[in-house]
Amino acid sequence: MTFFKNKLTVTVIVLSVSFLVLIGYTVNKKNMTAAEDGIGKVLNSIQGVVYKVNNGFKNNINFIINYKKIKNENKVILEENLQLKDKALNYDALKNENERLRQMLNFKNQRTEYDYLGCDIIGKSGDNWLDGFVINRGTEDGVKDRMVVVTGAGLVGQVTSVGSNWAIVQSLVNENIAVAGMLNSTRENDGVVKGYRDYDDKLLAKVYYLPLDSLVKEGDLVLTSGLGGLYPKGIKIGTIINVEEDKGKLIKNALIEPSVDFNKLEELFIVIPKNNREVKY
Amino acid sequence: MKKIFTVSFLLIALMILDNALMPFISIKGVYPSLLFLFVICFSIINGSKSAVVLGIFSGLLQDIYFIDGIGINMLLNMIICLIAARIGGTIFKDKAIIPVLTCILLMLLKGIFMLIILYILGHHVYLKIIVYRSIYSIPFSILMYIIVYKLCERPFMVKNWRF
Repeated sequence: MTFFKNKLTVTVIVLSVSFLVLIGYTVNKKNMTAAEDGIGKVLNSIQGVVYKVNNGFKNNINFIINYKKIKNENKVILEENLQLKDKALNYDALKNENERLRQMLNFKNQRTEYDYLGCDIIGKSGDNWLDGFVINRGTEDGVKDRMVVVTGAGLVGQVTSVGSNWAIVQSLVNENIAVAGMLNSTRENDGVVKGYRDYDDKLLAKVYYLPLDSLVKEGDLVLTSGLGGLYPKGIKIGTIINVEEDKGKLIKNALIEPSVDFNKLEELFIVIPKNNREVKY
Repeated sequence: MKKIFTVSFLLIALMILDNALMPFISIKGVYPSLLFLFVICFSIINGSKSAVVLGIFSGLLQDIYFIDGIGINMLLNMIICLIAARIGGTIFKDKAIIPVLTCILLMLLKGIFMLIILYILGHHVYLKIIVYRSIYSIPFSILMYIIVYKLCERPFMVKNWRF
């Protein structure tokens, strides 16, 4: 019996050491190992279906529970729609004018430098320790590590590892992703946005390193600044809900409520630069 | 043979549920891992040898959807299942209280190990999520232990592993 126990202990020690080596060897490699990719591919097909079914179920239940709220929301949206239609007419006219003027000045249009690739969420990743999603696009569709993921509402996060037809996206609200931010009202662009969880466990973000004389105030819109060349300029991040001063470091920090609801994500868009040099490694 | 087949099928099914069902019943973004609870309960009942094998296999499954490196969950699950098996060797298994307590404590322990490893690798994890997660696991671990205990009483599960 003691012999068997010793054998087990030896096995466990050997395995532990080899796992440590494995971690050191595979961590921070940008592409997945072939084994991970293969197993992931097989599991994803089933997982995607299960996720879709559950998501549909959740949405239906939400609809029944929040029927009144949705009715009210609908009313508000209808009114807003009318206003927006009016604005859209104006927009068309202005857009034409703008295009004309741009052509005159030979100005490079930043928005057209990117392709937008749609994708679905097929599962959660990170097992609760790190907030992330599994999506159904990979290197075969031109997705690369560190590409940016958005929805219509705003910035979602970044691709952190890529398989052949699937990838893992880490969201903005997890503290390990930093984005260069810009205040829409004052055009100050020296903020750094990181994820933040408040005491009620709401998923928020926080913008750091604003100068002490910054005119930041509640209700300001925060956009990506495009500095660093990693994120396209002008993607919405969220609105500021609280400003605090750090007199020791001579900076201001501000809490942001992200414009994306991270609990209700379904379809995402991956931003793919047409010019490949723009994804820096 | 039937035993190996049943257990691997269960592990993969629970893995899929972890990623695709549990996020929908999360409370404030926190949800327990069924796969992890299953391997702990199984280890408590079946002893060290199964514990090591199951720990590694479940760790591999969890690592696929984890950050870039593989091996983190494999290492932690193996160690934790081994501890569970040692605890299982000293208690009466027909009452669920102590196994459930063990589950919760080991979940906390894994969280703390995870926090340390991820900190070394440059990722930040919130300590309170680890605590909330263990608390939310209590009802799931009670159910899981009862189910696994019944499963392990079936005749085809009683036979020994053969590798």
